[in-house]
Parts: sequence; C-alpha cells; structure tokens
Amino acid sequence: MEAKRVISLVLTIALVLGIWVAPVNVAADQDAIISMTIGSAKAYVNLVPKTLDQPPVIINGRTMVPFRFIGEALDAFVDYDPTNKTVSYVLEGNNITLKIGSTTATVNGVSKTLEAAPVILKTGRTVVPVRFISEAIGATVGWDAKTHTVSITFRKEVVVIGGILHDYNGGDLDGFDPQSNTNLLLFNACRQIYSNLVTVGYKDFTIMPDAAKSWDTSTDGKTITFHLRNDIYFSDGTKLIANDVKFTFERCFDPNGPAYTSGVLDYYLTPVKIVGGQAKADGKASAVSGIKVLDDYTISFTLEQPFAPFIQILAIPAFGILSEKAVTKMGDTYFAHPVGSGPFYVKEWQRGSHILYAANLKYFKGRPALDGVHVDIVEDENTQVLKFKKGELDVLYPPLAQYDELVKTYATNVYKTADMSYYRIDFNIKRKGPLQDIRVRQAIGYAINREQILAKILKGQGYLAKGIFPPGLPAYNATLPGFSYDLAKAKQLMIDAGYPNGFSLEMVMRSGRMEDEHLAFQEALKQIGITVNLKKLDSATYWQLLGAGETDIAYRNWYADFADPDNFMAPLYHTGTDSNMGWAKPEYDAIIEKAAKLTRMSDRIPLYQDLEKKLIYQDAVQFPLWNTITTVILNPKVRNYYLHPSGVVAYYPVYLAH
Amino acid sequence: MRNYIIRRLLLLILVLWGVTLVTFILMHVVPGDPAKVLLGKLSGNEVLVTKLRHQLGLDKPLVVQYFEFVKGVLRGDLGNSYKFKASVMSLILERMPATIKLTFGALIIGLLIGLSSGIISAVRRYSVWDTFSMLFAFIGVSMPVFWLAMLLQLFFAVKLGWFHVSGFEGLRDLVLPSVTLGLIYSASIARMTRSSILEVIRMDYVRTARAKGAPERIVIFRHVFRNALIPVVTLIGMQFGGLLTGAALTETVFQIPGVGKLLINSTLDLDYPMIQGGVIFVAIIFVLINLFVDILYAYLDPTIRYD
Repeated sequence: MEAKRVISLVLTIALVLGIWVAPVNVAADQDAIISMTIGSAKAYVNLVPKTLDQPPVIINGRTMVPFRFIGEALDAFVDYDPTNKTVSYVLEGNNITLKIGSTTATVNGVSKTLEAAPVILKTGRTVVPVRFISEAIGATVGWDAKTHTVSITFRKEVVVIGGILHDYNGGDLDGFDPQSNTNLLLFNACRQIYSNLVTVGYKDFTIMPDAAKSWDTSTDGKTITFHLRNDIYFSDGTKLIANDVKFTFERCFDPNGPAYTSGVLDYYLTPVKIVGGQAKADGKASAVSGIKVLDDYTISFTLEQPFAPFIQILAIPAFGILSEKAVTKMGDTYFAHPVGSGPFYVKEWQRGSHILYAANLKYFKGRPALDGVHVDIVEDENTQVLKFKKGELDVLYPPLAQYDELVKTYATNVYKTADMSYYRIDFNIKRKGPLQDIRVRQAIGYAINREQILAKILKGQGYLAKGIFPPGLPAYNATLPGFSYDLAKAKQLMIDAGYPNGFSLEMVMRSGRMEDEHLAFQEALKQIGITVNLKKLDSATYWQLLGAGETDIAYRNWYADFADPDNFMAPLYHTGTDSNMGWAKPEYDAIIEKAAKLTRMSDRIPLYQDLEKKLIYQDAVQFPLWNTITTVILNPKVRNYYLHPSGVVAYYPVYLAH
Repeated sequence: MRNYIIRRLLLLILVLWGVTLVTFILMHVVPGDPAKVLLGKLSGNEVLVTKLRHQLGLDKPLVVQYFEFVKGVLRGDLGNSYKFKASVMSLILERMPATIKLTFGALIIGLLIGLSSGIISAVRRYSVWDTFSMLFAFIGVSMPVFWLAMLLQLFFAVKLGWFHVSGFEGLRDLVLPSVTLGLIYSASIARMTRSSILEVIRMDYVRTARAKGAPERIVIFRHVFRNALIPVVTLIGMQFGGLLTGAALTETVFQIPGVGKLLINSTLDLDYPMIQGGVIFVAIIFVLINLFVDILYAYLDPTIRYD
C-alpha cells in the first residue's frame, strides 16, 4: 500500500510539474480523440490543439467534417484521385473510398450508401458526413449540442510485437559502408542500421532529433553545437560518444576513404565548407579543425560561412554515425561487417540472395515492433510479382508491365506517395546545331504530349511539372505558367527557326530502362519533322557519353536526397557538377552559392524561383516533364510501411497485424 | 597417360595467359569508363571521375596496368572487385556452392530424362515414344529458359504451393531451377543420344552380337550404348562447363547467388578485376573439363590412346 501511494504521489508531482516523459512503449493501446466545433478552425487531437483550414460545417442538416484532417489525425493513408474524383483512406487494413457528389461509397470493396454526398468546398477541401465516415472506420461519434462540438473516438489497433517483414531489393547491394555510395539501395540499408545526428520523419522531410537530442547555432550562423544523448550503444556494445561522430565526419575527408570518390564528400560535404575540411582532403592536415569534441556528448561544427541546408544534409543516410572502434578494427572489410546504433542490425548478408535485418532490442528509441526484416534480392520483375502473389513478399512495387492488373486485383491495399523527383528532357546547347536556337528547344516541348505519356506509359504515376521544383519543396512555384501540348505552335516555332523540314537528333538511352518513354518522345518529335536517332546503350557507354555531353537530348531524372532547393540547383546547374550540356554560367553559380549562404528560407526562395524561371522559361535548357508518384502494394497485415518522398523506407515503425 | 595430363596442364598456363591478354585488350578497346559506371548519375562530375580513376589505378599507362595485373596473378592475387570491394577470388568462391548444387541438380535431371528418352526413341524408332520424346526434345531446345522457369514457378509454386517461387535456402529450393535447366539440357542430350545410338546400331559388331544370339538388352547396353556414349559425353562435358560458369538467366529468375550472374554483371559494370578473374575461372573450368572428357574417351573406347 505504502509503495503504491509513493508512486502515485511521484506521478502526480511529475504530471503537475509537466516533467512527464512519455514512456517508450510501442505497444501503446490508446484512443485517438478528435474534437471539432462547427464553424471553428480550432480542433483538438488527443487534447493537442490543431488548426483547421476547413472547419466542420452543417449542410442540409448533416454534419460534414474535413476528410483529410481526420485521416491524417488518425495516421491513415489519405489519397485524392483527381481523375476519378474520389477520396480514400487506408486505415489499419480498411479501405474506404468515397466519390465526390455521390452517395455511394466503397468500404473494403463493398458498396455502401451515405446519408449525404461528399463535397469539395471553396477552400479546396473535401468534407464528408461525420456519421458515415466514423462508422466506416469503426469509430464512435459524440455530439455536444450546447457547444456544437463533434468528437470522433477511434480505438487504435494494438501494435503487435514480433514477426518478420518480407521486403525486396531490385538489385544487389555492394556493402553497408554508408560513405561508399549515394544510391538508394545503400541509403535504404543505412536508414535501418545507423543513427544520424538528426533524422527525418517517416513520411516527410521534417527534421527530428536522432543521436543529437538538441543543437544550437551561434549568432553568426557558422558554428552549430550538437548535444548528444548519453544512452546510445552500437551493436557491438560500445557506447556512442562525440569522438565517433568526429571520426565519422573526418573519414569523409580522408583521401583514402570511401567518401572521397563516392560523391558523398563532393556532393554533400564540400559545399558545406567545414573549416579545415579541404586541408584534410588535400592531405595537408590529419584532422578537420572545424569539428571539435567539447566533451563526450557535445560536438561542434564550424563552417566557413553559414550554409542553410547543413542540418538537412546531416540527415542523409550517408552520414550514419560509425563506431570508430569497429571501423578501425575491420579496416577494408568494414563494408561487410557494419556496426551501427539504429533500430536494426545486419544479421545475415548473402550477395545476390538476401539481407536479414534483426531488431536491435536495445535501440535507444525503444525496440522496433518487428523482430526482423528479410530483404530478398530479386532482380526479375516477374519473380517479384509471383513472390508477392504467393505471399513470399509482403511488399510489391508493381512493375509497369503488370501495373493495371495488379492495382485492380489488390485495389484495397494500394498506397501512393509523391516522390521528390524531377523528370525532364535535357538539351545539349554546347553542341553546334539546331538546338542552339531556343525556338527549336521550345518547339520540342510543345510537341510532347505529356498527359498522354504519363497516363498511358507511366500509368498516371506522376504530376505534370511546371518547373524544376516539385510540389512539397519550399521553393515550389505554383504560379509558373507551365506548358501545354500545342502542335501548331511547335510547327510554327520550327518554321520561325528556319527548320520547316526538321532535322535529326541523337538521343542516348540505356537498354531496358524507360524504353517506352523514349519511343514516345521519338514519335512526338516526328510530328515536327525531327528524326530522333535513339542510341540504345549499355550502362557503361551511356554514362560515358552522357558524362562527356555527347548526345543532343536526353531523358533524365533527379531524386532529391534532402528537401532543400539547393539539392536541385547545385547538382544540376552549377558549373563542374552534373551539367555537361552547356547550361552553367558564372552568374548562375553565384546565385546558387549566394542562396545557400542565406539562413532564412524566405530570403532564399525568391533567388531559387528566379533562377528556375531563367533556366526553364528564359533559357529553356530543359523541358520539364513530370514529378513522379511511387506506388506500393502491401500485404493487408502490414501497417505503417510509409513510402518516403526520398524513396528511403524506414522499417522502424512497421508492424504486422494479426 | 600421366605425361599427357601433365602436358595438358602445362598448356593450361599458356591458355590462361592468352585469354587474359585478349580480355585485357578487349576491355580497354570497348567504350566506357568503369569510374563513370560506378558513379552513375554523378558521372558528369569530371573532378570526381578523375579522383576515382586515380584511386582505381586507371590513370596509369595500360602497359603498367597490365604488368601489375600479371604480377598480381603470379602472386595468386586477382585484385579487388571495383563494385564489391571484396577480393575477386573470395567473391567467386562464395558463389561456388550454389552454382555447384545447381549444376549437379540440373545434370542429374538432364541425364535421367535425356539418356532414357534418347535410348527409348532410338530403340523404338518411329514408335509413339519416339515421336513423343523427339517432340519434347524439340520444344525443350527451342524454349527460352526464363519462359520455362516462369511456367514452373506459376504452376508448382503459386498454384500448387509446393515450392518457393524463388530463393535458395534449402534443398527444396533446388528443385525448380534444376528442373528448368535439366529439361532444357535433357532435350539436346536426348537428340544426341538417339542419333548416336542409331549410328552405332548399324555397325557390324552389333549385328554380330545379335547373330550370336545375345539378348537385346545386352546388345543395347553392352555393345551399343557404351560406344554411342562418346559424342554424348562430349556434349555433357560442354554443358557441365556451361552450367558452372553461365546459368545467369536461371540464377536471376530463381534468385540464386551463383557465379553466372556475378560474371555477367561484372561485364556490364566494366568491373575489370572481376572480369579478368571470371575469365580465368571460366578458362580453368573448361580446360579441366575438356581434359576429363578426353580421359573418359580412353576409358569408353579402349582404341583411343594418348601416349
């Protein structure tokens, strides 16, 4: 009795003083309560205040509530399909689809009748009848007539601990050294096995603490000090301390280290300009003077000048914190014996066959729900599909060839997320020839029917792009005029440019990669008399020619590693980086460099948007095509498998329902 | 015989030197830069390409690169794979178990089906059996391996649920890929066996055997089959080598970590050390198998002598 009283006293004091620390308990069984008042923008989710851009309303005597808000509050997967005018939730394995203006809805494939049809209001938000949506998801509705408050109580499913998720990779990984490559396969692996100083959300690029519990920036913006947690252990049992962080970043500058030639240094760290970094990379210093260990749990980075994207860059999986002891001990074979402090560790790795990740039961944020993840290496698309159908895989990224059939068969388990990607046609304006005339480049753009290619070939997995930055990125410019398919205009531009009968062009492509799109471009340009000679090449020759700028046009894409406009500008348009097509100009370089130095996003956005207009509309060096969407089909028992705009999936929140 | 074997093995060294030199020249003649393949989408960055070429030693004169390679080989060091960073030797060795299992699995099935249907159709020439097994052989020879693999996956794994679609974790997983390859190989073995037996069966000594009243079973197995085996053994030897070095398609479809896929990918990636290592490996396999087949000839046909 006595002990119980003491505990409750301590708990009460803790509550009163507000020092309550939420226990790390992934198996929390709790209700989600959403309360909203008619006509009020103020809402509460589990007593946390939220602002609504569309308050609940009463239409014809029915209470209508904002669809997206409720879904997101309950952690549902919310989707809007503009072509079919439908809105849908996937919540804990239940799929609910409503059609705008229709009183018939589909719940897990069964038709149901609504008391009122969903409508899109002036705010652009969809509202749905509260009674129906609550019942469809299995929630209860409360109504307070006095205050006109509606509350939705949803009992969340209990997170199940245990089980193995069966995922796959389409290609072979070359190891687990985070600094050795910049490809998605490695990033995906590192996201599971390492901790970074900071990390990003599971669904977006929101920066969250990781190994560093907090950080502060000096007033001049040049020194950033990180305060590390003191309860992090590597999978080999050693404690993670500031020296490991210092070791990790200094290794990036080592001329004999993997980062030196993998792009990790050149693309991510060199632009950051950490004091003393270049000296170490040039072999003139053994340490990086700008990285200082203040004590075991405090480390500071001093930059030559403020660099806005720095924190975002630290969250890239390439900067997973290494154990100095493990890396030193393993030497050249570290890539095969990784030691991290993330939610999982590599238990088994067989090249060409599979990777087995096992749960790190001592993970500092609490053990993952899954016991492990078995990642098969399945290169053959058909085998991927068959394995999913048989239940050997829980996850399937439907191949285009079988997309329609698969999405139809598994309609209630399809999830889509917009990528942070940019697909475009590159024009080589360095080469002498018709492409030096801007009217020709514009004509090519007008001759391509993007809607049709997107719908027919890419199965609608994308949005038409108006510029370089995809929606969701801070610098995205919704006010750009965009482009439309206009064959007459394209033909006129060709005549104006002096090519009424067209000419021929060279276009490189990799065999077996996006062939249908290339053929569609070839067809499109035939309409304005341009003969496209497609050069179907192996990867080696393709990169050789592209790197040397030896093609007239190219169909290319870029996926952002971090959500900063700089990650589109610097790698694509700065001198000496990816551009070998003659676009780069010293004045553009200066804008890119200047924008990265400013710390306030609001100051940077106009610079980026202005440069975007110059490159795409004034110079027309590229023709923007689309920003893609990734589709995944999941086994109905898989929960919280969130597609991330970067393409890197975190296995930590995933669990398997019974 | 011993001298013959020693002579053949000495010849192997010459063969190895020849193939590696040809490969070395070919690798550098074909367009493409391994550094750019490794860097992929970053390959437009000249600074990075230069640094990586230096790290890989690709900026040295070709002659120097060749002598360094030869020096390494003489010390038993084939170098490290550009892509996997691990030593070429270890990469090939770690994939051998899967390849060997698959090879023997395929060979057993190929021989069982191929030899028996070949013999039956030769002995019962123009019968229903003959027509059936030759039709079967015809389909087997013309069917693409990935297509057959897919049909087997669809029926036995997805529909009946007897096997995994792909993967290589237990003996059971060996069945579908072995059957795939075995069926394809059995087709050519059957055809070869049939025509070879039909040739031998007309020989005088067969007629003699029959004339002296030997039972048909003895005639076929003692007099005909053994003599008919020589071209069949040659074919099997070649197939054995092919299986050990290049079942890449089957490996891809069934997700088997074998040598074939490793070697194919290394050529696509321009992974020079891996390509050279692979070529040496393939050459050794083929020289040894040819030697073994030649020795087997002498055993099958005592009139063949090598000294």
